[in-house]
Amino acid sequence: MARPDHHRPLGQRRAFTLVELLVVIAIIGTLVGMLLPAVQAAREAARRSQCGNNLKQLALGALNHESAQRSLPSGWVYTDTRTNAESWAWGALLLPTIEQAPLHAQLGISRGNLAANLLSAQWQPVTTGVQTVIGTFLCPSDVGSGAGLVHNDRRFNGGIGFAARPYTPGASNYVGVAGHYVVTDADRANSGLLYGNSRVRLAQISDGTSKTLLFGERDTRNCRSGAWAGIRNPQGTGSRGIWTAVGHARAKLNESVLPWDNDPLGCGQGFSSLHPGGALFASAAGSVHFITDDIEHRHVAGITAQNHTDPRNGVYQRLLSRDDGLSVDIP
Amino acid sequence: MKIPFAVLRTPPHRLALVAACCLVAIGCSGRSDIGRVDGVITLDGVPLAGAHVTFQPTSGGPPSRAVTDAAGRYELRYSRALAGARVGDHEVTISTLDKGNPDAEPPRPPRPERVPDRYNRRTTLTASVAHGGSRFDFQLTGSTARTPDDAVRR
Repeated sequence: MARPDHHRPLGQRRAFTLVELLVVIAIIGTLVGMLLPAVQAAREAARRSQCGNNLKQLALGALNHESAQRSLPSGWVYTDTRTNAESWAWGALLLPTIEQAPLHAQLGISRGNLAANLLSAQWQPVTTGVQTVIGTFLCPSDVGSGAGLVHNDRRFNGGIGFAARPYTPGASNYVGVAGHYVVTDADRANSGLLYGNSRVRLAQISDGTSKTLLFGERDTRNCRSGAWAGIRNPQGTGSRGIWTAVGHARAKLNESVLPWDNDPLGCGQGFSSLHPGGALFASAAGSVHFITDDIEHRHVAGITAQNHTDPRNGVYQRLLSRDDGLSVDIP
Repeated sequence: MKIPFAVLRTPPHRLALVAACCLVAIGCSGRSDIGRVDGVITLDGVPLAGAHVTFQPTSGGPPSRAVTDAAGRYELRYSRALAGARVGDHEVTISTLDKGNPDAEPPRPPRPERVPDRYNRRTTLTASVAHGGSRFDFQLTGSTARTPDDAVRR
């Protein structure tokens, strides 16, 4: 009969040495270390897929709007000419098409513009309504973005309605494509699909609906996202002007060097995401595309001439204009 | 039960060294079409701080950017993850213009252009980025405040 292990002389025990144990632990550690990025990548892939689904839903909503009203929604509504008047943007106009018809009615969007409704006798449902967090406007990859309300730097304080009844609008990780130009004055036309009082019909997209972008992403951490309800200042520059609802082609995709609020090159006026290496966009045909940071970017600046039709413009700039005559396929 | 522990007789620090080398090799496999770029920018001999430097590739691709520090030094960034610029010819623009942010707390005031427009809007600066990195120092002359034709334009 064999003696129990602990009665064996030293050196004959059947046990692992400390070094062997450490090596095993090191190997396990290395394996976990190799596996962890893959797990994280898989989780990000799932979030990105959900993010793209939301974008698709918004694009289909915009196309339904086009069939029903014979035009895409306005980028923002310019009916209130006062400085710092809050105004509805495309997100609020699309509510009925993304199963938010009750909220659309609650906000009284067909009754009046945002500032007027906030100052009207029925202000209470409007104030609560614009603070609604709507999942369709939020990208799950935008982790750490808070409670679904706009970033502190994008609050609407200074607005006419805000002065009477303070509120924090619901955030949107998706902003519209205003076009090539950095124009912040009221309802001046731009070369994209969503600008002040725009009513672009699909027939006017001469570059082709599948070759023109409609919506893109903007993350909160780097670029302070936007607001679905609207804008604060139809004539305004700055972080609470029209760029809470739309973006232009001058800022580089995922600009990371300049401050987010650098005017006009910061990504607070452009498009960005936390997906590694690019951002999701929806085309005017309703398809969703991942556009990489590597995309050719060359912006012919200035707003006096027809600069968006200049053949020196890059692929990114061409995709953000509807009628530049320089149509390119989405890479 | 016999387990071949021969591999484990290798000293563990040596194993760790091999593993570390593998990881470093994976991590450092940067892109061959991107070269690191840095340098110093002066305006009339004085280091130019807070200027935006843009390298726009003439043969396609996105621009690379940097902002100079107090000593006028810059290092270009291609994207969030990558430092450098595309290998090849670039058109270079240098500017201090910032329209400011009236909504920031406290508001950020606009900052005027100090660099003459032959270095930005009508730039003639070029640079050719090489594989493995390049260094470009720019000695600019004639700040806008002193340029007579610029004074007329205002």
